[in-house]
Amino acid sequence: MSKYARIYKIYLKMNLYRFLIYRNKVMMAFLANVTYTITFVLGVKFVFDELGEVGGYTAEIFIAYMIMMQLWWSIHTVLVRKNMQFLAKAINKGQLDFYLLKPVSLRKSLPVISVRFVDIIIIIFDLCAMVLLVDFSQFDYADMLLSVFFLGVGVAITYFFVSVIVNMTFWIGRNDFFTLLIGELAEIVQVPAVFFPPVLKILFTFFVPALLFAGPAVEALWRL
Amino acid sequence: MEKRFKSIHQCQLIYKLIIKYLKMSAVIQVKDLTKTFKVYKKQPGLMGSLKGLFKREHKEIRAVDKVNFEIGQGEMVGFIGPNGAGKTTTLKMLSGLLYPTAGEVEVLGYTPFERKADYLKQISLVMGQKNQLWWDLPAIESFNLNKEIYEIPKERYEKVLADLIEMLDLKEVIHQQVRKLSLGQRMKCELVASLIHTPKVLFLDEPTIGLDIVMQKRVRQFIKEYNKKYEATVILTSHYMDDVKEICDRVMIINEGKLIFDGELDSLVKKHADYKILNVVVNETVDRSDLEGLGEIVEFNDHGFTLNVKRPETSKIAAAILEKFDVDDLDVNEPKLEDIVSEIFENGRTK
Repeated sequence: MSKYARIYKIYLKMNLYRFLIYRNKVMMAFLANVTYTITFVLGVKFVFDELGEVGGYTAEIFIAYMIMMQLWWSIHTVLVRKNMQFLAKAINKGQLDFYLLKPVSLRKSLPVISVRFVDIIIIIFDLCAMVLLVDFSQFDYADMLLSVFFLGVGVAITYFFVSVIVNMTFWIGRNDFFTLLIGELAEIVQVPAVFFPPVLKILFTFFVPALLFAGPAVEALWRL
Repeated sequence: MEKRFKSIHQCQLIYKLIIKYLKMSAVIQVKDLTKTFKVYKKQPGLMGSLKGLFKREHKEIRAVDKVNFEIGQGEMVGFIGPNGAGKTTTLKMLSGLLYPTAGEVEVLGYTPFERKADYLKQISLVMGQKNQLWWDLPAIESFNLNKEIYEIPKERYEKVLADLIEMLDLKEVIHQQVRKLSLGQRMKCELVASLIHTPKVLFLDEPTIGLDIVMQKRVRQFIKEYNKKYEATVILTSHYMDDVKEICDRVMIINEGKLIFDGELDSLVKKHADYKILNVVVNETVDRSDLEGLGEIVEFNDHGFTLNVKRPETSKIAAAILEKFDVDDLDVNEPKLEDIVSEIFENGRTK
């Protein structure tokens, strides 16, 4: 096994052990996510039973969009957010010394230094919810692959922004506001682009590309 | 026959000298090492803070100022100085965490700030106030992580781990969560994590800070044992003089970025303290005036007195006291290292 494969394996193992130690915390985080999903789905079904369709979005598409946003957020948390928060905290508290003096690249090990396994469970839950609530027989494989690709692009966009912000910590010290920005943007784009006026659509697509986090992944499936 | 014997003997002497030279060849070489920091000089008050938004004044601080030294393999060197003297900054430049502003530094033939993997596998930095162990997991997991990071072969890892655990008496503790350990236990586990890859050079930045007396002694003992067993070069910074006295043969004193002393501990005492301390306990009442001409009176009470006497006259004055008074006990001590170092710091500050 190569050096980094072994290092990835052991970091993931240690994160898994840490996850298994705090069972109650894990259970609560998981239940909170399940409750949120069920409540949201019931709410959407109730609203769309009255409205029928909005801008091409049916209840099914809206639910898929919501689950895709959660998927994006969970993948972003596992691969980007937690690790970048760890890096920002290490820079602020002067704890980077230990990592800089280890004979491994910090950049290469960063994706696995701080992994929350509860988010991996939430990803699995979201995927199951997607399969249960969306009729996948209406899509062909090309659409599904394109959807996965756009989801990856959404995660890559947030990785780019967050890594620029976190690297600024070396010069400007604490920058909690900026790292919270991604969360705030995710709140804004809880609803799809079709619900935004044209000006905000342009703003959140080309300048602050929040609508690209999960929207294109859904639009690729239904070719909206 | 005699000529042949003499030449064999000469060859043996030369061979021994070569071996001694190789052993003492410099592991750390520092030449005119300098580090300056630019810090923002904030004006006091609200107006000062508002002014600082638009125009800032900066001050340049020379944390390390043209420091020169060499350290050989296996040496144990104490690096002492008052707060802000430049000790940790120097250590960070030697380990590769900081880039020097000027000068040259070489450790084990490497340039530290390049932080090459081969260099990092041979050094370790232990900071008394910081912890690399995973808080929520038993210490053994952090040791296993370091095994993979340093690519330590399994057999060597198990042997070294067993050695270190025995030396530090950690058998009962390594499977407990780190957050449930006492500070002393955590420090010992920290030492194991830092030494599991048997580094050749150890940088110890206040390793005994916050520990109780028993634990301090234990850590000092361990460092000496480790140095003896693995021939590691040790550089130690500490505010506890006992750390330096018990561990180090050589001491370097840094003050305001400048190296003001570099030599053996004994010569530090002899160079900077031209006196010895005589503690005398007497069985009779002594008048203060009876002590005139014997030395500087440091302490005086009904049961005895303490004098500072000039080094060359110590024996003569001790004999005079034994003759003059009914002495119950008399002992001759070197001045306290703490007092000498404190005096050096004070003189350094006023210069």
